[in-house]
Amino acid sequence: MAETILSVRNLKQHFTTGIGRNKLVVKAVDDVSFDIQKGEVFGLVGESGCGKTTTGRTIIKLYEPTDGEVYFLGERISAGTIGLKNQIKEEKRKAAQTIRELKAEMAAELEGADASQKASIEQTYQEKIKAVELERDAVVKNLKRDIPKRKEDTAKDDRGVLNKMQMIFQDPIASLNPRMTVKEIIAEGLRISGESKEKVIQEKVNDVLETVGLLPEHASRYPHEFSGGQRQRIGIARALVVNPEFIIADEPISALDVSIQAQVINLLNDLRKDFGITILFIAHDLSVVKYFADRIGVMYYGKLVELADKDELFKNPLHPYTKSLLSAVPLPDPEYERGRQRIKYDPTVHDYSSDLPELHEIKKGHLIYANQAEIAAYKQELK
Amino acid sequence: MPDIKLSVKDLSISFKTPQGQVQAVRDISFDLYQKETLAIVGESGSGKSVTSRSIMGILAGNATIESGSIIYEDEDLTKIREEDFHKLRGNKLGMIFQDPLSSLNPIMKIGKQITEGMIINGKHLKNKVKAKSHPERRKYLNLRDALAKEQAALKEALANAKEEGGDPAALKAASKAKQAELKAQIKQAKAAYVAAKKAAQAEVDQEWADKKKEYAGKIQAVKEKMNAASADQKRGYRQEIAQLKEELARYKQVTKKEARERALEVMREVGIPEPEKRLKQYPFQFSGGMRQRIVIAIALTADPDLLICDEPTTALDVTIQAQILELINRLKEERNLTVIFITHDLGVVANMADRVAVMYAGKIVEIGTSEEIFYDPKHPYTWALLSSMPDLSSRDRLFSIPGTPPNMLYPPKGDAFADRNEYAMAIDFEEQPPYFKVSDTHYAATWLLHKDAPKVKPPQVIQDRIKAMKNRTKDSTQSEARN
Repeated sequence: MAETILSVRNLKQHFTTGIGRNKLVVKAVDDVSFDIQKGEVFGLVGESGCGKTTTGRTIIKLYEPTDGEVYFLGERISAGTIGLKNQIKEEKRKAAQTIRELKAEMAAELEGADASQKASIEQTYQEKIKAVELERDAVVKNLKRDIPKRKEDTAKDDRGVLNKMQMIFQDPIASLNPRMTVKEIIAEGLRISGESKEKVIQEKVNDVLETVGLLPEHASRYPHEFSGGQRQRIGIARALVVNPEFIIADEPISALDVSIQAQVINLLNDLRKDFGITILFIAHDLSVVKYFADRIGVMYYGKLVELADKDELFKNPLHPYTKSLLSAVPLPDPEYERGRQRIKYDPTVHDYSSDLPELHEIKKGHLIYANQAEIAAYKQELK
Repeated sequence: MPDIKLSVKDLSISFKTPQGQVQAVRDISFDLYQKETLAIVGESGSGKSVTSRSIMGILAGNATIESGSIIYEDEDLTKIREEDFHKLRGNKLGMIFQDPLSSLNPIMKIGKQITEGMIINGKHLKNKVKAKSHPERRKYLNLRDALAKEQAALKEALANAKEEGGDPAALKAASKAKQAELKAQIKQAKAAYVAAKKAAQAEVDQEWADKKKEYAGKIQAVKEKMNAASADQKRGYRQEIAQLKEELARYKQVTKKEARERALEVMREVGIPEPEKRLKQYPFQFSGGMRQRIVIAIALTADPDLLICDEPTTALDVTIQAQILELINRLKEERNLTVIFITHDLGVVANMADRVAVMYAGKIVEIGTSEEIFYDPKHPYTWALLSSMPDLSSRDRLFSIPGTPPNMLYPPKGDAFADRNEYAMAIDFEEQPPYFKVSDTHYAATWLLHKDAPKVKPPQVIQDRIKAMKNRTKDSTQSEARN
């Protein structure tokens, strides 16, 4: 078993807008868990607005998570506290409820009792209430203890670990500062992480430019002097210069032309082979993800609905959303396209009113978000 | 052979920039047949959008059409005036743009944006006058153009004469005579045009007055009935009067009410749920797919018969893309549209196109039916495009086209793709290849098809893929047969 490099546990990212009556909570990422092994490419697909980019951005700490934990290289790099707070509230509410019930019971018993018995009844109930309170306090204390720790972990800015994680953005035009030269753009990360020797910086910048297929003399130019593919290479160089072990590539090719897409994918493939870099590849183009990724997670409205090895996923898609997504991939084959049957996804087919769904491993390495009844049906389908 | 809807001949377009003339489209020709979908494929900067914009007459200000013609319904779209284009754009040609967010006005309600065009184009009486005097107007304007051309020619000739030592006086005299003749003709044509316009105006005025009288009578009749009726019935009569007034107004122009009704109709047609509610919303309240549907709805209000789609799905993701493509295909069937579909996604092309034109550096390098382009590609650039795109079974390293497209300020002398082409031969750098005929519908501009050229097979990836595709179709037909 390969080493786990990144582990996401019950990650939630909720955005709140408005206050009072207009308050609206958008659950961009809702309870997502997955692990990424060292050296693999993990593809995250889904339609726009499904939370795949938010997941990436939360992992790299551009957002503070609402709840859940992210472990990177064995260290907790960020964790949300809302869940704990809610849990504490829930505990308190439950205890209060029990106490209220006990009191009511006591009142009922006291009414029909003699004066002599009253004292003993009161005593037994007082004891019961005390026990409930004690239990509550113990649980709450336990939960509360984790809150400052989580906050501390989230606030901690451990460059040694975090520099091992870098991001490549979608739009190579918007993500490069037009007023900085390529060298300044690439060296910025180095300088922030404490490198001050000009000679070392120059050397590293030149090295990394060569790695991504640009020339050292490009270092003094500005981003607008480059073509789309070259700009994306600059973005990749900026990520590479601090020797990361893990790269989050957020739709790195969606904004590029076909012929340039191939260049960038080949480059990422080389990096992975030569440097053993692990990649979280976020995209919506399934044929590219199929080509590039090892495992694929499918997201729908903030939930991870299916996760499997790429071949397994394409061979045995189980979740209706995955099926619909696969049926929408256009292929360069007119005959096939003419006969293509697109499957529409209707989220109302799931009946989650009583039987709640969860991520369930239906087959080794094949996880699916479903409830018990559906799991039975999917198992049937797999046979 | 079906009818030709639109015919582009030897079209060249260049853009004037501080660095010089950028030759965006170089000498392209193609025919568009009735009710077909022609896909134009190519990298950014290959001139595919410029071509479609020239058909719509919405080229940027620094663009000039150097030569060539675009014939649509016996009129040359490169020559007609902006005012005449208004009529075409409103009624015959529709266009859908790439980015649905930037092609909608963010501070205008959707309803207004959809109805705007209908109301502006819907002055029925004015349009009638224009249509009636159109031939005279054409003649007059053509003559004026001819005069301007003659004057320009004289200027040039005089300049030449100065340099080469000709006789300026003789030239001047000859030209002046011609000009005088033209001027006389213009005078005549102008008089004819004014007269025709007046006559048309009078005719339409008369028609309008008649209509007004007719409706006044009708309304009067209803009013009389209303006076005699009880209070309960009066309400019904009032509605009747309002309706009559609306009908009269509709005779004159597209009224707001009519436009709204039409808007609701097309919104339903493109699959927007609850259109009544949606009309009052702003673009930001719509999702990407819905926005693109709005853009399509706006194009459809004019009831076009030629629809140009400029990368309509590039900004959308797979599922939404599939929906929009299905929508365009459905509308094409229902409304008998002819479609020009511009994209760089070959998967989308396979889905949509009847015929495919592959563009590179301002030229069409290969054109054929989609089967011919996908199963029997001939041009190395088409090969490169096909092999640089992974399909669901690719495992090997992707082919990426080396180098960059040529700078169109200085287009190369030979084949523009030669520099990036591993199959390039010496002649590719020297001379531009002509179109070689592969079949009646399939042409490719590459020297590889010359009878003296070495026989080259497409790259292994493409051969494998074509084989796989053929097997797939065979499998499916077999399974169908079994069923």
